[in-house]
Amino acid sequence: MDEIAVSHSTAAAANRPPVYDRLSVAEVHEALRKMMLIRRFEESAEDAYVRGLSYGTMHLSIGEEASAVGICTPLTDADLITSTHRGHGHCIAKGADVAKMFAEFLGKETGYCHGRGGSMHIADPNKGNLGANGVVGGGIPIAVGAALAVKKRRLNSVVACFFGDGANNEGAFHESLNMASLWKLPVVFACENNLYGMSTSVERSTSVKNIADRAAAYSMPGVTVDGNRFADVAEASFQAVERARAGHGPSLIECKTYRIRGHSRSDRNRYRTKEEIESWRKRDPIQFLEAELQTLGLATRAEIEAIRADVEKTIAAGIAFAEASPTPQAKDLLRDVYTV
Amino acid sequence: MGAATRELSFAQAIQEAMAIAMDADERVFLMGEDIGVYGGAFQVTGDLVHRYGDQRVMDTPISELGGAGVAVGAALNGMRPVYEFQFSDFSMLASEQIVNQAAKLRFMLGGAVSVPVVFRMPSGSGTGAAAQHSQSLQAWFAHIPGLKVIEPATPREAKGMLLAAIADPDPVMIFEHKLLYKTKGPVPAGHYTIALDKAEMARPGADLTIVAAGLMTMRSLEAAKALVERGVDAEVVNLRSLRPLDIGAVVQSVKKTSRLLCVYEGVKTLGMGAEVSAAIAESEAFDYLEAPIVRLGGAEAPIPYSPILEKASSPQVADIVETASKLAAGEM
Amino acid sequence: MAVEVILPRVDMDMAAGKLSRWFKEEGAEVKQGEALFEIETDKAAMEVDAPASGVLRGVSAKPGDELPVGTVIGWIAAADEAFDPAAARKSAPADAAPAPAPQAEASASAAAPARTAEPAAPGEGVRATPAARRKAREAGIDVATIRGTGPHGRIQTEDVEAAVAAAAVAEARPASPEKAPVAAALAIPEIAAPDVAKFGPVETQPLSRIQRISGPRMHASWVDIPHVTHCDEADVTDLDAFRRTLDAAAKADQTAPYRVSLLPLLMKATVAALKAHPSFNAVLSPGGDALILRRYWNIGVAVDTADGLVVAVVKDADKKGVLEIARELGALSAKARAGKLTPSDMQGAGFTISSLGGVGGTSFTPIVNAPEVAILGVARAKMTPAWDGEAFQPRLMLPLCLSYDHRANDGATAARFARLLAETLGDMRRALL
Repeated sequence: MDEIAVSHSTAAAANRPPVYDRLSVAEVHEALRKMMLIRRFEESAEDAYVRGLSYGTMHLSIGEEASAVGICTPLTDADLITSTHRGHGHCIAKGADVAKMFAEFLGKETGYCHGRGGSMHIADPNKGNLGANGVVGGGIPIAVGAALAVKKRRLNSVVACFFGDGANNEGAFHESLNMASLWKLPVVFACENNLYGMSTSVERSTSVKNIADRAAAYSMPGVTVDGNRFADVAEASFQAVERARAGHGPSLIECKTYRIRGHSRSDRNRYRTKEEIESWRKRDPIQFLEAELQTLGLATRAEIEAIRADVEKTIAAGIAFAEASPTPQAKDLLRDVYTV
Repeated sequence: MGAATRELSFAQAIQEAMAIAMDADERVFLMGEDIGVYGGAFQVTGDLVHRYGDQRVMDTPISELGGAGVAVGAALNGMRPVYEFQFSDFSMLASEQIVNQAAKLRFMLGGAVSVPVVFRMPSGSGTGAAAQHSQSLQAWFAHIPGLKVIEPATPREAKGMLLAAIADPDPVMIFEHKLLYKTKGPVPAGHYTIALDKAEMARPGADLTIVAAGLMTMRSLEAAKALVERGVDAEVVNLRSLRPLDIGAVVQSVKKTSRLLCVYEGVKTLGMGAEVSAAIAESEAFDYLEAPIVRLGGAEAPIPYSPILEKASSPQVADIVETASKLAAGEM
Repeated sequence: MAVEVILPRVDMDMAAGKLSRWFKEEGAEVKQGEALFEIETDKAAMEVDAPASGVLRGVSAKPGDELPVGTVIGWIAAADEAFDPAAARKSAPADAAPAPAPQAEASASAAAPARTAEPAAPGEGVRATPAARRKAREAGIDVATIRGTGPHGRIQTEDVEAAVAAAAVAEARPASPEKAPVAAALAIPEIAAPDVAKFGPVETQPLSRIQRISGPRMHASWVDIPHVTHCDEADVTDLDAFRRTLDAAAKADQTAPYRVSLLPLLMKATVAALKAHPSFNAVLSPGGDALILRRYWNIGVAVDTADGLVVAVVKDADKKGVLEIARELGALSAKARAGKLTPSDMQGAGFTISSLGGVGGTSFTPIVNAPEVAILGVARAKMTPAWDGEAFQPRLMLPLCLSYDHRANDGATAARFARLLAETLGDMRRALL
């Protein structure tokens, strides 16, 4: 079984994370841009929600931007992802247009799902995003199936399967990892362990210390990384993707991260302490990346601000687009229940 | 037209359909437990693994939920999987992937994807397999928009409808009654399809309409023969599909006969008969009813083991004859 | 459970009846089958039996009340039953709805139909299949008037079809004046009654029941039917001689003496003539486009009573001999004068003979008894000189006055019928042909 090196890096050390050898400066800037885009999208979505401008609920991934972007960095449009109910970040990381995401969020006809899916089901098949999923563990078997198709069709693609710590106790998780390993399918199982499945901590739900420890049970490599370090996540992803593309089968990457916001907007955060939240806020992945890039000379302050400003424009345009878009009509209720 | 027609069993007809589909389209492949060298629990896949290899006839671990989800994922990414549940009862484990995912992905994603997956399963009671291996769950799944639920009655139907299901871009669930697997009937050779949205007039008649599907269609036809001796001319409408339900065919029939009997093995309450009764009462056929609509359904109990009890829990030919006689005689 | 006492329908075309008297009082004990009350109809008074045994309660109609058929006029409760008329009324089915224009009645019954069925639960309507309701809707029949023969008394399509068929062949054409289409169409102006008391003393004499009932019917017949009266005469010299011998023997009968008038012979001759001319023993179809010929020969005979003229019917006159008919006529006349004719005695005639010979007259124009299409009026036989080819002979000539509905038969046909009748009466052997 291959060993994957776990790399540690700190901003203070002059150690240059190996991943930056794989990426061009433009690609690195793009990663930062996406992380900022995710952050601003989530904050805007939250804003719309608390003002009562949107319907239903939403699950924000503020604080988890590095794992979403890091996992997706090695992927192309030909590669696929499946996502979770907390999937806005994955969607943007895979290249989605935030305008159509905003529109979907507001239930408009111009949204990715024409208003039929809402926050939890946003998908962008053209960019290889098979969709967020409202059922915990729902997307895992689907990812394996998509990878089975890749193998049968003799494609070169890889399927990245996002799921959280809660899903790792679902039967679907175990059945899927078993089959993916058994059939040596090109899957990257990317677990975003944000330490809580809704209100239940990992300690209280999971019988292993690290979710990556479960990989061995299914004869695949498992690695735990700092989910708030873009470089660490991206490096692990590159290695897993290469393994998959080479036909050696799946891997499990556990990104230890944290969601700054509650499970959903109605979460009273009774199950964790303010201190804990604060301590993780200090480990903000975007701030860290900005600092790291400047330290490594991969980006200047001005470039960073320019990226930030560009993100603001994109967000503003997206919101305007969504607000101006038409709502669906009741007469179209039965559209797309069936293909024919 | 003109294709050679020969006698095949229901199981052979299904196997033939799968072979034809795999020959014609390399995207088609089979998944299920023990469908490879074992040949399938009911010998439906038979020797297909020797003809198509174990990549196209894939044995899965005992992981119905995961397996069904894999089928969904494969269907999303360009394949046409045909997934076999060893018993329809085990589809329960996969409900999440069938109901929450397969049925809804197209709709939730605003039409951006289709899920062309087929779930096949042996269904129904009468083999002494008892409560967890004998259920008829068609009505449950037929309740879900986004799914298609079909129930062939004859070998010819089994082949034609499976081929149609494989070609269908949407998820189709096929309930194959275990007691039908060995029944024989004429089956045309080569490729043909039978529409999944049309009922069949299995036996025209004048005195009452019997609506049924699958095994119950065959029992109803047998009952119709016995009813002739009692001077009752029964019309048998073979639904073929529960979703979509060809209620138009039933409406036309009831307008002609003015009496309706629904026969189904699924539990009577909230089963096929409940839907057909309500739909007819809402339709123009209402003004032609000369008697209450009657349902003969499965008993309100888990399916028992002892043969006497097992028989009593499912509509038998004699039950159909009795009830139809009473209904035609104006005694209900 | 208290049993309803209803005003029953006894005649085919009866929509209402008058309660003429109670035989029992409120609170009295009654036995099932015992005469409970009497009603008057168009045709005759009628006793109605008690439908159950018990105590008569909740009497709600008094003599003289005119009520629709089916009205509940009382209850028969068990002796120990605490009976509450208000509650009973609430739980009873709706008091009879009068049938609409096409009268639907399969058979007239002589006795009150015993309504022993349980009263319907509150709020329960008519049980009818959807198909039956549709058929009734299409036929313009109130489904509530139809009797159901299905399970739970459910009205089925065949019940509606039976009702429709019954209406189509209903013998009785509506006789009441308001239903006479011609009269209504003609809008005959009424002659307003003057105040005759103005000119002198007056006395009011109520018309008898028979007059009150037959008057409007006569009026309707007169207006509805285009009458022609064809007169002829029959030489009954020989016939009367024969009659005298029969009458002498009848009077002298040891067991039950009776009389033989000319009427029984007249009836046999009439039957023979009707067989040759069936169009005089017929009714016009409801649509007016066909004659429904009767294949039975019931002859009605007008009988004079103290109250007025009633018509008694001798059924199957073709199957009975002269003497049998004579005896029957005697019995019917006696009944008629006693006011005891039953509806059955007065129904079913295909042709009527009205003989005023006993009283006098040379001819008259009788009014056809609708829905029949002809009536034979007979005046007093008179010795008349008749030319036999060489000399005048004294012959007893009987005037025959045949009034007929010109829609059913024309003048030539009527003349032939009358001539045949006259010739048959002239030589009774012709009746054997």
